Formats: sequence, C-alpha cells, structure tokens
Amino acid sequence: MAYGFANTRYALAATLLLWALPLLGQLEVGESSTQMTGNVAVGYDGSYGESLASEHGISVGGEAYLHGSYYDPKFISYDFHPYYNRNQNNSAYQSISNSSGFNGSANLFSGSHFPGFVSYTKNYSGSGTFGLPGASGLTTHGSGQTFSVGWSELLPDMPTLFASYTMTDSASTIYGSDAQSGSANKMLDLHSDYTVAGFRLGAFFQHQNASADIPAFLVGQQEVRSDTSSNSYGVTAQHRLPLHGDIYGGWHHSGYGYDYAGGHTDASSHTANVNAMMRPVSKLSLSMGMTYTNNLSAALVQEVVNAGAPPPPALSEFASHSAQYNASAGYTIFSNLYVQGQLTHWNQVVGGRDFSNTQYGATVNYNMVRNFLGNFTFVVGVMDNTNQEGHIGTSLVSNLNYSRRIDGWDVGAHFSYSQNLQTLVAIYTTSSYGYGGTVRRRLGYRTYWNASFSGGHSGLNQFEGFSSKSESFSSSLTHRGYAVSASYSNSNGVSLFTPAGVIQPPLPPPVIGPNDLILFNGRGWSFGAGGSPIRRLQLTGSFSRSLSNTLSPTLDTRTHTNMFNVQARYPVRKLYLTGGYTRFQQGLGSAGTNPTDVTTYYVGVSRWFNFF
Amino acid sequence: MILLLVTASAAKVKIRRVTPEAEVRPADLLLEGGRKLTWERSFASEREVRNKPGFWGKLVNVIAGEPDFKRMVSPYSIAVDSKGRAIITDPGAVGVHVFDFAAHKYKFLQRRYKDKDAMLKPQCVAVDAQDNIYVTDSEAGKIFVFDADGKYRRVIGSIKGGEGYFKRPTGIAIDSEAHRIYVTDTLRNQVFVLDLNDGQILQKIGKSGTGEVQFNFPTEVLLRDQTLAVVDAMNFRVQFLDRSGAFRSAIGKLGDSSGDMFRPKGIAVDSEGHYYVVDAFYSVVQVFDREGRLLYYFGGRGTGAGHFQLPAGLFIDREDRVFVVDAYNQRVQVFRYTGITRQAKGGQP
Repeated sequence: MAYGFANTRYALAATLLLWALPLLGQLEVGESSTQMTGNVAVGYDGSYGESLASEHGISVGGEAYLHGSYYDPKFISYDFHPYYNRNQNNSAYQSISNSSGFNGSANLFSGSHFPGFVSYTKNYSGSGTFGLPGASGLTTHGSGQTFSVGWSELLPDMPTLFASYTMTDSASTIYGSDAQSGSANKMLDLHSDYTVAGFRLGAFFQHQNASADIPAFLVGQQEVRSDTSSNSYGVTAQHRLPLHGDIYGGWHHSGYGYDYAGGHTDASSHTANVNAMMRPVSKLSLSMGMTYTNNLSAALVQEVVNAGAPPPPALSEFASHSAQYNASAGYTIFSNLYVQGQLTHWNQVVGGRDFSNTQYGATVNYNMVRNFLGNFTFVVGVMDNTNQEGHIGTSLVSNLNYSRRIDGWDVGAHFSYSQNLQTLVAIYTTSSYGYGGTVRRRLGYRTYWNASFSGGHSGLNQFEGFSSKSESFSSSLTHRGYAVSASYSNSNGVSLFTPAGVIQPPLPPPVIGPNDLILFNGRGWSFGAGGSPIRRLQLTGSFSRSLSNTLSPTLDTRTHTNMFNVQARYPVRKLYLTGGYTRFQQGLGSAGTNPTDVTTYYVGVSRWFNFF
Repeated sequence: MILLLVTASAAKVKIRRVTPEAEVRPADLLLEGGRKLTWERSFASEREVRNKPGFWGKLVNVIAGEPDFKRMVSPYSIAVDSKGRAIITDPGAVGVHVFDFAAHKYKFLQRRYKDKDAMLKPQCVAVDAQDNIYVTDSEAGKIFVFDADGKYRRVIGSIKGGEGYFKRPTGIAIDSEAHRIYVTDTLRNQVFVLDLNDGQILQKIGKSGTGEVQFNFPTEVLLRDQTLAVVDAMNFRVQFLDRSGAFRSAIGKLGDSSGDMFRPKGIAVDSEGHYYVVDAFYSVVQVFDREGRLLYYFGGRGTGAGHFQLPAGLFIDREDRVFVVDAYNQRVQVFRYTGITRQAKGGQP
C-alpha cells in the first residue's frame, strides 16, 4: 500500500510533464476530436492492523478520462479510463485497497450497416462483494478482467446478424481468509432476424463455458472446481393475424454439461410454444397458446445451474415432459377499469407419474386518481385450482398502491399478496406477501426528511420451513449542505450457495435437495453523514455493520463486517487537499479462518488537469 | 501514468491549433450618411475582466490551475451603469453578473439560498441615477434592489408569507427624476408604475387585447425622455406611450419580411433616437427611425462574431455602444454605432 521514494522520483517527473500539457491549448489531432482530463495525486498513506505489518510512505495515484472520435463519431468513437492507486481514502472509489486498472471501449462504424464494438476492462487489487441475503455482504479483494467484442450486419431487406463474444475471469479472496476463489466465463452469442412475406423470423445460438474454483472453507471440504458448458439455439416466427392480431411460434433447444467435485452430469431439453392474440374491438382482447417441453427435469435443473449452483441430482434421473395450455380474455370496461378472465391447464409427467392442474379465474385492475384522495391503484384476482384428484384450493392475487400529499406530507404505500399461486411445477403452490411505505416532508427551507420501509415474506404451502422473509428501513435528513442517513435490514430463510455468494433458491425442494440448501440469518445497519462546515470543505463519514450466520450440513459460518470511513476534501482551484481514514474488520467464523482488522489512512493533494 | 504520457505524446505529433470562429472580426456595417456600425468585442466570462497574471500569478496558475472563472449560462438582460459596468441577468446561473472592465473587477450577485426572499429567476435589469441595480424575478414575482457595490438592499413586491405580488415581472425601467419604476407583468398584460422609494403601486397601464394600450404578453419596457416603449411580444409590435400611459404610436407586425417581428425581445435607443429591437427568432437586431421605418438590421443566426443565437437583452450606453445579449451563445456582443452626432463630436465617419 505504501511506496518508496525511488519509485516516487519517476512519478514526480511524469507529473511535471503532465503539467506542461495544458499549455497546448485547444487541440485537434489529425481528423480526430479527442478530449482528455484527469488528475494526479501525491500523498502519504499507511496501513496497520492485527494481521499485517505496518506500512507507510509516499504514494502516487491518479486517473485519466480520454474520449473522442476519429473522423466522425459514427465512424470510430472511443472512451478510455486508466486509473492507478485509487481507494476510498483518496478518491470516490469504494475500494478498501489501492486499486488500479483500465476501462476502455470503442464503437466502430456505428453509422454503417456493419457496426461493431470492442471493450476491455482490467482491475488489479480491487474490492468486491460476496453476497449474503439481508446483509451488505462480505468484502473481497482481488483482480479481474473482461473482454468483449461484437459485430452486426444490418443490410436492408437482408437477414440481420449480431455476433458477440465475451470473456471474463476473476480471482478474489474474502477478507478474513487466505483461500482464493476464481471464476472464468466465455460466451458466444449469435442472433439473426429477417422479415419476409409478412413473417418476422428469428434465430439464435448461444454457447457458454464457465468455471469456478471454490475455496474449502466455503464448501466445508477440500477446494472444489466446477465447469459448466451450455448450448442453446432456437428459431422464432411471428405473423400478423386479422382483427389486429398476432401469432407467434418458437422452438428452442437447451443443453448443459456440468462437472463438479469429480462428478459429471448433462442433459438437454426442447421446448416449443405457440401463442395467438386478437383484438376484435378496441376494448376486447383474446389470447390463447400452448407450450411443450420434452424434458422438464432438464429445464428445471438448468435454472439452478444458470444461477451458479450445483445441479440437484434428484430430478435428473427422471424422464419427464410437460404441456401447458392457456387462454384468456380481457375487457376494458372504463378507461381505469379492466377485467380479465383466464384458464390454464398443465399436464406433467415426471418419473412415470401424471400430474395435472387446471386453474381458472379472473382479475380486476382499477386505477383511480383524485386530487383529494391521491393516486390509488389495485389489482385483484381470484383463481380456482383443480388437479387429477379434485379441487385443491383457491388462489388469490392482489396488489395495492397508494400515494398522496397530506398537508405537506408526501406519503405512499404498497401491499401485495398472493396465496396458493400455481408455479412452474404443477405440484407446487406458493404464498407470499410484500408491503412497504414511504413518507417525505419538507421541514423548512432546504430541509427535508424522508423515510421508507419495506418487507416481504414468501414460502411454499406444502413444505413447512421453506420460506424466506426480509425487512428493511431507511431514513435521511438533509438540511442545506448537510445530510445524515441511517438504514437497517434483516432477512432469514433458506438459500443456495454459489461462487458469487449466497442467493435465494430459484426453485423449491425437492428440485433442490435439502442438503444443498443453507439456512441463513442476516442483519445489517449503517449510518452516514456529510456536510460542508466551511465553504468548499466537504466532509463525509459512514459506518456500517453487518452480521450473518449460515447453517448447512457442510457449512457453518458466523460472519461479521464492520466498516468505518471518513474523508475530507478541500479544493483550491484545481488542487484538492484530501484526507481519509478507514477502519475495516471482518471475520468469517468458520474453521481455518482468522478475522481481519485493517486500518488505513491517507493525506495528500491531487491536481485536476484538462489536458486537451 | 505511462499510458497518459504516450497518449499525450502521440497527440502532439499532429496537433494544429484551431482558431475559434468567434475571433474572426466581421467587417464594419457602412450606413447612409457616413454612419457605421462596428463590432468591437464579445465577452462571456469573468476571465475577460481580470488583469492578466504576472509572474507569480502565472506560477500559481501552473501549480494550482486557473481559478474557476464564473461564466454566463443563459444570460437574458443587460444594463450599463454610469461607471460603464455591464450588469447582466442570468436565469440559468440564478444570479446577476457585474463586469467592470475599467477596474478589472467582477461580481456575481445572487440570493439563491436565502430563507426569505430568495432570488429564483432574475429576468431583467435596470439601474437608477445612483447606480442602484433593480432586478425583476419572473419566478419569485418580486423586484430585488442592490446598491452600486452589489449589496442587497431591499425587495419590492414581497407580500405576507414571502410570496411575490407580481405574477411574472419581466421588463423594468427606472425614472430617477420622477422617482418611478415601470415594470411589465407579462401574465397580467399590464405595466405597473411604482414609487421608487417605497415600492407602492401608483398606476397600472393597459389590459389584455390587441388594441391601443392593450397588451398580449408584454416583456420589455424602455423609458426615453417622455416616451415609454413597451415590447408587446405576442402582438408582435412595440407600443409607444407617454408617461401617463396614453397611446402615441406602434411599430411592427407579424411576418417574415424585413421590419416584421416574430419574437421581439430587448429594446434600446441610440443617440439619434433610433430604436433597436431584437428579434430572437430571426436572430437579428432591427433598427427603426422615430416614425417606425426600418433603417437597417444586423446579425443573423450563427456562432461567429456578429452573429446571434436567440438574442435577448439589448442596451445602448452614452457612448453609443450597443450591447446585445447573445443568449444561446452564452455571451454579450458589443458594437459601436458611429452616427452623425458622434461624428460632429470628432468621431470617425
């Protein structure tokens, strides 16, 4: 984090050269138009803590923004942004460590029939986040890069083609652990559209390879590597129908191969669907359609794999297929009142067993705006469910939104509720509700207060304990140039482990095995303040704390993260005097890990340049 | 760092200096009888007022960079006081620029963040015999008064609760001898006559309509000798009244020929009594004689010297310097009219 005087000599020489650049004035380079701004900073920084040796010394940093075009912005335009030694003590960057890197992109021939783009980002020693539900996540430290290139063919009256290729890779370490995790991803994407004889035809192909190295303490065993390969391709067709209608049909193939912990699994599925819609009169709309999947298990498992989690083995073994038929009719009674009736029938075969479900019902949409009552909207729907064994219950869906101004108070509230709602798999129904509200008031001249809260709960009716809930609250007060804010959030329930963090499971059990699920409980709160006590001086400070614990047959963690940061900036013309202080603590609470406790500080000056 | 240097070095190889279009001086406009109109200069920011830095100033500039000079954002109206200071309202910057070229000083007047009587949209400006500055605020509905040093003195038209009395005060003219203020209230279609000392309303002139002493969005007012000129914007004309509000004459009509008006804005009068009227849509200044005949026009749409984009305010000082607020180009252009009177005083024909 600190640098010696030897390196500083070169940096200072470079700084002096850069100072000379503004003398060049307003410039034009050949037939290009290029602008470049940036800043160079010199300061004294240091770091110390329980788990690292104390360091301090002169440091040099900076960044530059270069953007422009060659000949014409529609011919070639570009945007480059290199940065060096940026962190939350010496700049607006949110990295704890000194982060360096480069962002660059260029658009080629964007005004032609063959536009393209290329972009590249590279980051060294930056901070990241390992996600945790209900908490701000665990702070990581690592490097990464992304390269992408794309090209299109847009000839008139010819099939269009869009091709892109993206490569990303990253390696990071969660503070508090020495173990390194890594991931790499490569994706090829091809799209084509063609309109002929009234048919709008489309085709696509996508190939993706992803790999991840997961450290041992996260999976409760030795380090694991996963490799995923997936292909999907398909075709679509659309054509106008009489009575302001459309008919749409599509077919696609999706397949994957997954290697994890020495095991291998692969599967593929084909899905075909067709939908037709008509609007015989302006107030009436009719639609009907069907979808068929020849391998329902593979389609479900791929949702889990796409989320980054290992494929659940349970369903993969069963032969399965699914057909869904739906029809609906909607009518606008008044401009603010709309009713819709719908009928949906599922037929699914899993492991030789037949599951069927029929759902029919109606929904009402109403929207009311009155000056004295505010803005009020609601949607309510009732649907009845039957399966092969008879009537299984009634579903209810409702959604309410309300906002109005009451004697200087701007208030808003929303509430949503669904019960026994049929989901993708015919044998599962879910219930959930969500709520929230906001209030805002002007307390005086340039003084405002606002607060908001929200919460939600979701679960499966058939499985006790398979539920998640979350709540959050935030408030802020601003007065002239000062602001204070606070927030609190908590959540608990079941989750799924992925290399990028712990996420809400995309599908219910038993699609995901009980051993793959993680019980989590997280909460966090934060405070922030900022202001300008004297002219031009800007002070900001923040404190955040988050706690979480996870419990699974293979992983048991109790994490805590504390972050305290203050920064002061004082501009003098193009100079910025900057000081910053950060105290960071993080512990994972699992075997083989040690808590991190780091304190960093910075005092320095930066000079902003408008190079040309 | 290396990338910065490489990029900069590469740029230097093919560099050529670009001459801004604004620096090309337009030719003089030669008029009948040896009169002429000469473009003198334009100015846009505080930088043009300040003294050129000396050695130590340059050194500080190199180390710390040049200071952030205040510049015009969307200037609208202009007045020049007895010391030759150009006072320009800028609704976009929510303040008033005061350029003192003789003393190399600059001030920016604002009352944006005041709890009481904040200035929200400074629209038009006028000065009295003591160089006090009067600024209409079309959003706050008030008139703000600053002294010659730029210190806030009082507000006119602020009623209980802090609201402004006027609906949309715009044009303003001061009669220091008679202690009168003339203000156009664009939304009320009236010209208000106020007492200069206490701000009391003495008279209301006009009403909505298209007839004589009837207005359709009056936006500017000019007092010269015994004549009150009111820019009647949406009737596409200028009405001339006497001080009591009685109709005298009018010039202008809707059209796209020379002498017609579409978006009349600022108005001023030179030493020979010729009336100059800005038309924002055509980006020209049209010059009429006392009988309303078009003498000539200058300007045209563009960004170069002598051209305008959405010109608005206009002022002619005692030296016959014509100040045109070139709003969209974010600058003020200065011309000098050399008429018969000035030639008789020794000016060049």
